[in-house]
Amino acid sequence: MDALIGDSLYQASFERNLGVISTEEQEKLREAKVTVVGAGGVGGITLIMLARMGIGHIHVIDRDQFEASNINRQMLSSVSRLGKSKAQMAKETLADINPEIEVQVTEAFVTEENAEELLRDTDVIIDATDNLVARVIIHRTAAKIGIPSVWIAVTPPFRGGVMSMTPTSLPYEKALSHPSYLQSLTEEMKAKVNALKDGRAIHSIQHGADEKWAHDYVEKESPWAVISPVANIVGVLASFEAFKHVLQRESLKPIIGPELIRVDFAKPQMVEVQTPPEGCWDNTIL
Amino acid sequence: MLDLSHVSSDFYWELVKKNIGVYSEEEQQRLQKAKVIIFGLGGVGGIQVILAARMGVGHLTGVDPDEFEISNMNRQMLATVDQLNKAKAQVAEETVKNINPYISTRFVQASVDEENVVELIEGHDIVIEAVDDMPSRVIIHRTARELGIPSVGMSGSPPNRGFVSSFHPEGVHYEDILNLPGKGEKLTDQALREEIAKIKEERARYSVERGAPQEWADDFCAGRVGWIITPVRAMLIATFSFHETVQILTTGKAMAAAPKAILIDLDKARAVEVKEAPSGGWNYAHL
Repeated sequence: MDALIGDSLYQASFERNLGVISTEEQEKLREAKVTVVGAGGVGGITLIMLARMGIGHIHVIDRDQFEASNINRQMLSSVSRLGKSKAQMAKETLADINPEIEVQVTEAFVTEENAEELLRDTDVIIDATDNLVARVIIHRTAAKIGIPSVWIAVTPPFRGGVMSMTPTSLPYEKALSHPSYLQSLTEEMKAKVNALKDGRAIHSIQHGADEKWAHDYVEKESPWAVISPVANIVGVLASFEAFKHVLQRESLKPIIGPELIRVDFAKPQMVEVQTPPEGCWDNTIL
Repeated sequence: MLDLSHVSSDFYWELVKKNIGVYSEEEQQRLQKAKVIIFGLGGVGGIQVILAARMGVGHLTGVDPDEFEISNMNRQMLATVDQLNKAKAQVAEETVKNINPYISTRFVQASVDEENVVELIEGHDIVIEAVDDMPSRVIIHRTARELGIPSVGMSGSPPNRGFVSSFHPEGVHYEDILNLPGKGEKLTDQALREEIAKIKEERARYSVERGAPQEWADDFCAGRVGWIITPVRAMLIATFSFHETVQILTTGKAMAAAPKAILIDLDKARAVEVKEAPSGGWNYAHL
């Protein structure tokens, strides 16, 4: 270990990627910067995957601390980290995978006021938050400042989705049929956007989610149900989208909205790229 | 002795709170009582021990002979700069205890062989095989079957392909469905071991047709370089095989009981899919 520093440590750490990617592509990853909003169930594994691919620069944005109910799925969480900052712990884990990685930590919630400043100066933005209003702000801002962004969803019982947005793609709120498209985010509009998640809970019953859980969720008596295998697959696919945006390989195109990578562990087609029949998705069924 | 049973129970249900809704409390209790053994604590097994602890599995046994080295770093979830040169089994045990301090564990630094395999597997509810050499794979699945225990197997190939299937004591044999030579013969025979191990070279050559570099396949077959494996592929294989394990433990409904399998190929629009084996079984060289 002592003998290996700098370039030689980096090369030894990531040599097994070579063959799937070229040495030049590995250098591209080393130079790249990815911003991840949310270091929880999907964001945590996404951050780890980005570091293990050899991404050189990361900005992690999360204002929360770890709690016990995170442990069932959040790969950065552990008993010894309960009560600690998710963003700070992300930095600690990533530096232990790749000591040369540069990690910028922001312990904040993304708002309309701070979004442009927080999200600029990066190659890709991954939205791994669980708040639907914050997501609207993230993807609106990304399109405005000309940076590709990756959207994810994890939905009971075994469903999920991943898609990329770009400044020239169908806008996020169009792709997901949000009522807020081209509207300002008033308190009333925020409530409408947030209510989409209640619709997703109820819709999940027909896919096998527990009925009582869904109604309890709508009544705010139960948290969103998420199991670790689904959160992990969604995170891996999100990191792979970032990887495609960075590499810009002709034969490896990101899946750009409204095309969507749909995940459903209960179906024989467990992961499949789909296009919405009507041209855009109803967010409540995702 | 301090009685910690109520503390552990409260902690357990707080830890698994967000599983409920996807799984019922009764299904969660089955996981709480389950005893799982994982062979191999590398790219795939190292992720699975973490997932098992997070899902709330009650007892976990892990077996691996190796220590961490730098080339593990790109994909092995337990590998960090701090843990270099430490035994994978020891690091795995510390990691799962830090996820759930009350989990029952047994971690062993050893290679699996025909001498120790029965003692290791006996008493578990399911066997996860995540080793990288073919003869060990055969020994593990054979023994699980003889002991009446289901097993989950997998393999992965460059660039982004994977295979996951589960094997049940009453179902199709691992060696039959994968068309492996020497069914039922002891693997102490060196010639047979080599014949089985050769399949991996055929897989390397076939990978070239699927986009892996020719130069890598030549180097691999000559023993000059290791198997290419990216973090994305390791995670996909680990997660789908772990999900198969959880389905068997909670509901008894496997997604991919042999002759079915989960086929992974990130270069396809249908990236992950359950498929039935062709009538003559799988051609392992193409998986």
